[in-house]
Amino acid sequence: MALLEVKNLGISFGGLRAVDEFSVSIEKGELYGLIGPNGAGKTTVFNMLTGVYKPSNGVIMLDGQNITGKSTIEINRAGIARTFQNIRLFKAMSVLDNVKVGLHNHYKYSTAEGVFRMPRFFFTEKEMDKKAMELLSVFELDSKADFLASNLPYGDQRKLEIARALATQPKLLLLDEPAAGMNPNETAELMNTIRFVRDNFDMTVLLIEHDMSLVSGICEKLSVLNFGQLLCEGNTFDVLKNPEVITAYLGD
Amino acid sequence: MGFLNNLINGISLGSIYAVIALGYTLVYGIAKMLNFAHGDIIMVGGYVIFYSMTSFQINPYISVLLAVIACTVLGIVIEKIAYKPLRQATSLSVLITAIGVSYFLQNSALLLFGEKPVNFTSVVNIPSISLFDGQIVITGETIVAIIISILIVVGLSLFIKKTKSGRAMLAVSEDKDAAQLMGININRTISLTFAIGAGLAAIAGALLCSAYPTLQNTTGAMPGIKAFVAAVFGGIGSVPGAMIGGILIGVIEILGRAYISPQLSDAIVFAVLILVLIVKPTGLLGKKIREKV
Repeated sequence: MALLEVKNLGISFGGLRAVDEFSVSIEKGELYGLIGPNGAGKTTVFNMLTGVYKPSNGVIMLDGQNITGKSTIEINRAGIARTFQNIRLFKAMSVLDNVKVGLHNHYKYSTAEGVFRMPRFFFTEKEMDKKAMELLSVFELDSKADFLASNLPYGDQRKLEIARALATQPKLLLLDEPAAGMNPNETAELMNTIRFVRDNFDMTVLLIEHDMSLVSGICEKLSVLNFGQLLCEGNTFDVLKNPEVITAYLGD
Repeated sequence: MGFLNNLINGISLGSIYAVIALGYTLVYGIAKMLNFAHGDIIMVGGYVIFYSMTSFQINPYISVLLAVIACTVLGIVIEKIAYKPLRQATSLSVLITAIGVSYFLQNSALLLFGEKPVNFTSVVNIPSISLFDGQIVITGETIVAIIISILIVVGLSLFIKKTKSGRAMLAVSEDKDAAQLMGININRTISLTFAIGAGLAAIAGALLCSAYPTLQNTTGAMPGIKAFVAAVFGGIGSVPGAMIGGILIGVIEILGRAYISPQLSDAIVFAVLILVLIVKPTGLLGKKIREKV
């Protein structure tokens, strides 16, 4: 049974059919790419998977659980976390606190315990700090834990977004154009990071990307969207050689 | 000596404004709305204390605690009934609703408690301090107001910076959608914000009615508006800003009343606000809003 099983997913905005009959099946541990020209509906698919948009039709199954039409919070708890095309960190908060927001649902103490600073508050906060620092060290951000998120260089902000998403302890990680705006060196480093995350966190990754070096470098399988419809899917190597895909990207 | 006395009175009144302003600034900072009913929750708190002290002979401190609980519940209920359905509406609709809630509370109080002001007995029983052979008198109410407001500012800052709920509040204030996608329950967080704001209003009610012991259905309205001015003055959304703004507005009001004109003191307060907003539109400690081009 696949970790993510999407069948006939579709959504309309007024008269516009943004995504139509989209199906995909992603196995646990796979690095899966979703590509397609601008406006093809890739981010819309992400928004449906995370509950930002309610699909008009279709079914989304995560690890055997039907999450179609659930709220963003429920879907996050079910195990999907994401990053954003335009980075959306909590900019006025420290790097450490950004990750701790991600940890929110995995550590419990009551508001009253926080107000009156009971022992459990100190204990739990310490545990959260430890866990957050562990995650940050994976991304070599531990030395910058006290920085404001907005003061990080661009590449680090992208990494911090991934760290924050991982803090919610997802089963499936969605990365929306993780290499956007990166230079080739940063992209190469990011590829290593994504591989590392998959291997060390037992993560399944679905990513949207335009950078073909990243896509062909790390994705094992691809789905290609064009005008909201699935153009083709399969192994990265075969898909990228498919003449239809080349036409969709470059025109006739 | 007269000046010092006025200054102390100003700081005392300002501390009360500061506690009210904190409620405004907190709700604005996190829920991005101006809760104009905030001042009227002060009045409700005042009445709860008054009746538990007079009709039920309850200890003043326990009465204040009861008022905090009652107002906290009221704050949560108001948010659920009046504001939550408007989460996606324009800010103008929410603002008008808040004004409606304000009138609803005032007129419900008028119906329940009558139009005649009641004499509030101070909840503070600390003796006044006389300095310089009685030339300067600091009342127990003043001392308590100043200490309580400082405690609240420090406590609130620690709560927001250091606790899970506080971090959730900051995250929601910056980016609701992203916070939600990280698993933060927005409704719960906003509820908590209103609960804290309303609880602070109850404490402000105790301080205000102890210092100015008449209580009627409009008691909270004017201090509410002045505290709103204080919050804007200090930079709305900023906790220390609310404190500084509150104290300054209190001092300006009392000094204006003493040295310029008692009738004009309110006008002076608003004139100062206008001047500050012309020079620094985000208030004293407000964050600069940079437009991306």
